This record gives sequence, C-alpha cells and structure tokens, in this order.
Amino acid sequence: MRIYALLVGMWALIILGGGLAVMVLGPLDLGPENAGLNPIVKAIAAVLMVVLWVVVLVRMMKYILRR
Amino acid sequence: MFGGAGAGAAFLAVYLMVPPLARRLEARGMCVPDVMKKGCPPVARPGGPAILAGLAAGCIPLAWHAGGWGVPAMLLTISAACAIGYVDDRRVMAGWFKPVALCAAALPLILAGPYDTSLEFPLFGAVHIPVLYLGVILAVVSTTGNTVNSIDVMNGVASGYVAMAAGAVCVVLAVLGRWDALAFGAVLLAASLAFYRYHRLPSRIFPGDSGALALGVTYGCLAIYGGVEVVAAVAMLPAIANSFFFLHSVRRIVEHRQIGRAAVVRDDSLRLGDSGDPGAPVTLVRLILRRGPMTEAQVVREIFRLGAFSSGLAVLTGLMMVS
Repeated sequence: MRIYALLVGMWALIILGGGLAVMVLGPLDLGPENAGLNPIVKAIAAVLMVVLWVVVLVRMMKYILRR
Repeated sequence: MFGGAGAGAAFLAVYLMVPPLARRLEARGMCVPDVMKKGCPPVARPGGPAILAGLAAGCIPLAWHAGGWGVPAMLLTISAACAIGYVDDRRVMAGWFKPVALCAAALPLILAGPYDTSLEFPLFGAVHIPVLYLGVILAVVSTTGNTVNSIDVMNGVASGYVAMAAGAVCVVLAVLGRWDALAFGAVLLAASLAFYRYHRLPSRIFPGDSGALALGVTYGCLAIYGGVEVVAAVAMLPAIANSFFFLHSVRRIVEHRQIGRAAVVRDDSLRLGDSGDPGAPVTLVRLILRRGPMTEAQVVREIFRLGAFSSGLAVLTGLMMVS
C-alpha cells in the first residue's frame, strides 16, 4: 500500500513541478538587454528544481523504507 | 487506416518472427538460465531483433503517410538503441555505457525528429523551451530505455508493462486528437503485445537488453512525438521508482549483473523472498517481497497492478491537460 502512496506522491510532485515551470520559469524574462542570459538562467533554475524534486523524493522513499 | 495497417504489420511481424528466432538462438546456444525456475532451464535471448523488425514493419505505413524524415529519424534512434542493447547482450559493458550511448542514439531524433519544443503540463498549460528541450529529448530517450531495461526482471514484465503504459498514452493521444502519434503508439502497443505472447510466464524468449532498450526508446519517441512527455513519465512511475531505488541504494551507475549481492532469494518451494542483505540493492521487487515470500507469478501480478494504477494516473493527467 505504501508503494501506491509513493506513486501518488511522485505524481503530485510532477504536477506541482509543472505548475512551477509554467507559472514561474516560463515567464522569467531578464529584459531585452539580457536576452542571451535568459536560457542560461532558465536552465539553472530547471536543474535546481530537479535537484529539489530528487531531495523530496529521497525523503519520501526513506520514510517508506523505514516503515 | 494507416495506423491500423502499421499496428497490424508490427503485430504480425513480431508474432511470426519470434518462434524461428528462438529456435535459431537455441540452436546456436544463445540461451541464459531462468534463475527463477526449478532447475534453471535455458531460455533463448535476445528477442530484440524480432521486436525491432516488428517496429520497422509498423513504421513503414506511418512514414509513407506522414512523409518527411520524422518517422525514419525515430526508427534510426530505435535501431541504434537496439544495437547498443545487442552489444550489452553479447558482452557485459560498464554501467555508464548504456546511458551515454543512448544519448548518442538520440541524435537522429534531435536532428530530424517530429517534435515541438514546448513542454505541456496538466492544469497549468505549456512552457516553451527551445534550447532546454534538446536536453529533455536526451533525458527522455536515455531514461525510458534504461528504466524499461531495469524493470525487465521477471517473465513478461518488460513487454507487458510497456504494453500497459503505451495503451494509457494511446488513450490520452486519442482524447487530445493527435492521430499521427496515436498511430505510432498503436505500433508500439501491437509489437509489445505480440512479444508478450512469448515472453509471459513461462518465457519462451527473453527480450534481452536489445529488446528492452528498443521498447523503452520507442516509448520515449512516442512521448516526444505526441507531446505527452509528462503523461508518459506518469505511466512509467513504478519503473522510474525502481531505477531510483536502485541508484540510491548502490550510489553509482552500475550494471546490475556486476553486483555480487542478491536482493532476492528463492527457497525450495520456488517462492521468492527478500534476501535481507542490507548491502544488496533496493528494488521494486524487493519492496513488494517485504510483505512475505511470493511466487514469481504473484510478484509479476503485483508489478502489473502497480502498472495499471500508474496508467490510470497517466490517463487522469491527460484528461487534466484537456481541461
């Protein structure tokens, strides 16, 4: 049953991550003078989001394994 | 019409090719012991060439209908993935080989593949990432290939699981009205179902790394072609979790055959159980066996239940994209 809970947790993380990507990452704009920096900043932010996603997933997994 | 022709061609090609391929592999001694069975009977491996032939047969009507280089580029990527798996079938390569080589296999898809550089999320809409999307393609191809390969642990699991996940993605593509991608999904569904006929318990043939990578990378191409990367990831959640458990417990990218410690043990009554070895990798099967010893059929059924659950979540995710 806990594996199903983990799957639902992963699913919720994907939906939330998508929300953040569309609402925050997508509209991110440093202005016309920094147009070249835009994709770099977005890429770094995306990588940080993935790292955060993995950290939360590890915590969820550890909780389930402990139980 | 062309989708049905492609699916029919893929199903027939795999269905008719596997028996002679298995006989040929057995005659050449290209078999591996099925360690889950009493006496460890030899089973022919790899079935990858039959799967690739089926996918190629199914893609011909699609390429003719769609025109351009999109479908041939996907087929080139799938063929490269199958070849990478075949090398690993014949000779155990280092753990980094498959992820890196699969990134290289994604090049035809990047150069000529049929994709849109927007990533679509449920509820919130799409985000346009023209540069980042190239990284998404590399990640999708490498991840889907390796996750399907990592779930290929018992009779029928890889092909049955891919059929289930591809079915869920096809439902979503039908709801979204993306008919060309749906036809490609039907080819994958047909090829995996035809292979499952021989791969299910007790297996007549194993897909091997070549078959698992071909199925996984085709699934990745389907996700990119249909613009349903998130839906496809959700349908694969148990397989992704399995890879994640494994990587987190061994803390390095390593070929599972190179790990000396057993996560699962078999008793005299052919029931499987958790080895209890804290140094052995954590896997989905091991977590399932925490409930107590089970037969192989029971474990396979439990994995398919998880697959059905995540496929349901994937369809729900797709419906959330419509609204």
